Amino acid sequence: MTDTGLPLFFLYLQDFAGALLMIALSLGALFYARRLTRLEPQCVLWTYLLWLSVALAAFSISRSIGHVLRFILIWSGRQEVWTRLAPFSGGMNSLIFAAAAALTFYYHAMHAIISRVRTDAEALRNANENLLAAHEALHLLNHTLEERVEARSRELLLSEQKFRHLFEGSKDMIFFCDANGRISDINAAGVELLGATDKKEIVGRRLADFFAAPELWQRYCAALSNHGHVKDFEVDIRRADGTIRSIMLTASAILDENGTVQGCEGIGKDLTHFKQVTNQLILSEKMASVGHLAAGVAHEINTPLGIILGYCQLLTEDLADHKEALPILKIMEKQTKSCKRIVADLLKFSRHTAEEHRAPTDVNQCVREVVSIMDHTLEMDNITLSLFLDENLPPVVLDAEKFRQVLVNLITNAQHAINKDGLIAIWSKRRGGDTVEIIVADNGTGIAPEIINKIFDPFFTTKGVGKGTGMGLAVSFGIVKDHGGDLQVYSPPCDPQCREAGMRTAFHILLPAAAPEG
Amino acid sequence: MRNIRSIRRKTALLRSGLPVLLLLLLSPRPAQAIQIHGPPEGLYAHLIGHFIFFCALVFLLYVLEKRPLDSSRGWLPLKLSLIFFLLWNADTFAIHLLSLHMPDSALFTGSSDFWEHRLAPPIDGERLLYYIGRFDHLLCVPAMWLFLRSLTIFAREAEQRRANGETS
Repeated sequence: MTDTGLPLFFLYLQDFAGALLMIALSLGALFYARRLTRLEPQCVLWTYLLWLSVALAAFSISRSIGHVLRFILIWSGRQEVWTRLAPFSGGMNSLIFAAAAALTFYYHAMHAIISRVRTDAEALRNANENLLAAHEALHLLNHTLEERVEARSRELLLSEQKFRHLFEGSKDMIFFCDANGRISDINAAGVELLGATDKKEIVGRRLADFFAAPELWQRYCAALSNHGHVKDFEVDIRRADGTIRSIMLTASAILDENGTVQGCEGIGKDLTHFKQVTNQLILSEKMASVGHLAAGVAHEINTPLGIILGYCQLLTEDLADHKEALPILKIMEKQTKSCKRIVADLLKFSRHTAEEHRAPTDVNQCVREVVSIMDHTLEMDNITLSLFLDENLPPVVLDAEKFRQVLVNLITNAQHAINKDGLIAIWSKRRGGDTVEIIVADNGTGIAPEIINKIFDPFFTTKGVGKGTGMGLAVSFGIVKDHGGDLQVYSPPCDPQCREAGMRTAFHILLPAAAPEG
Repeated sequence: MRNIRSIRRKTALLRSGLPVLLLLLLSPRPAQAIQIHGPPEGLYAHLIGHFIFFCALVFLLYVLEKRPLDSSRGWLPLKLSLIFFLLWNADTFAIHLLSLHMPDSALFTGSSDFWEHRLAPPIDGERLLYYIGRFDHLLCVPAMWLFLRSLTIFAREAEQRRANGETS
């Protein structure tokens, strides 16, 4: 074989079969590459593979046709034709190689560009999505803003109304003060408590101005500074009309971020009525004790006094001719009778009297009877007595004689308080459903606070020696209490009508109305 | 008005430049810039084409290996195809170079009977290498088959994606 060389036939055979296979396979590749680009036209890789398939198919066809033609031309004895055509086939192959290489490098560059574009597009898409989300949120916010503002305003309004209602409707004083202690806001109850008619009269004034005792204001400020609050701080305030009210303050300091006091806010509760009731209760208890004591003493003294008086009268009859003894016995009888009268008063005060003539009585009629008796005496002192009687009063079950004694005592007391040139006024009215109230008031000197709780004590008097026994009010108190009522004193008066009339002291007789018949 | 002035300027240029042009055309001299392309130039261009194609294949293989696009099963036959094309490229490049050294008498192809066509003796290593290297279809046909195979896999997967409503 080697002597004759190596046969080229097998080469030709391989070339011929290989050329046909190359054409078939490259066309198949071209078919699938085209299908890929149609399935996913946006994929740059498939585009590259399509063009690479085109190049390979062109190469296969160029090269394979060259091989086939070579066989045909050589077999037909025209080798020189093949010699002229072969460079075209080779040249074509060279161009296809260059084109395939260019395609490969171009694909890579394109891929890099597309990757960058895709990255940018992704970033743009994300930005767009974020923008859309923000736009959606903004749109939603814009859409619901009005409703939300409205709902919030409604909540604020309700809250404002709630606290405003609490502030304005409270029966206790609610106030706000600035850093200088000046009242910046106060509710209606506070205005009334401080004796003003309009808030404008109060706002801007110092709270300290209303404190009756300046030292209490200092203690109030010190407690606020030290503890940040005061609780159940009892203080007397001087109202615009000069009257005193007892209030209990509970307040908190308003602090800024540095802890500096910027003002205070607090509640003041009026304790005046509570204190009055408490004092009356104490007084009632005291009077009950005194009455019990007086009753015991009177009872024990009354019998010996009766014996002494009896023997005095027997001695007076027996010694009627004795000129020296008779005046002495008369004096003894007179003084004994005076003692008996005092003891009788003590018994009346202590409600231990034997004679009772109670019946349903028209208290207005009693008042008129007493006034008709005393009118002359009052006129002598130039004292005017005015009556303001409610004609629709129910009857009261009482001993009319004793009730008249009470009225006489109170009017006499008022006369003494006025001395001369004054005014006494009597009101009768119905309090509640079942109580009749008679007020005897005068514009006299008034009663000092330090003795007002003692005036119902037996033998307590402010009059000079020999001008009174101090039993008048005590007896009146006892009689009223004996009728299931109450006798109260106010100086200055608590009743608006009394105050408007210029009265300075008022005695209130409270009696239970008679039960209606049937 | 501006167009008229422009036309006048151009006609003036023609009138002044035309005599110079005619003078140059009527007095020709040897053009030294013309390059003559001899017979080996086509072969060199072909070899350069093979080389560029070889570089492109290496570059593509490098790119696919360095930055794989996805986990498709079509990449393996594609890479194998590129390797076979690389081998084929090297083989044909070598054959072209060997053919330059071989005398024309080394190949007897003068008869119309293909069976009498021979690689003439003496069959040394160079001629034996040339003979074996000429069986290049044993490399390029598998390369093309693997290329087709990868494309069929890609196409099947693309159809699957489309059926699932996915995007590539």
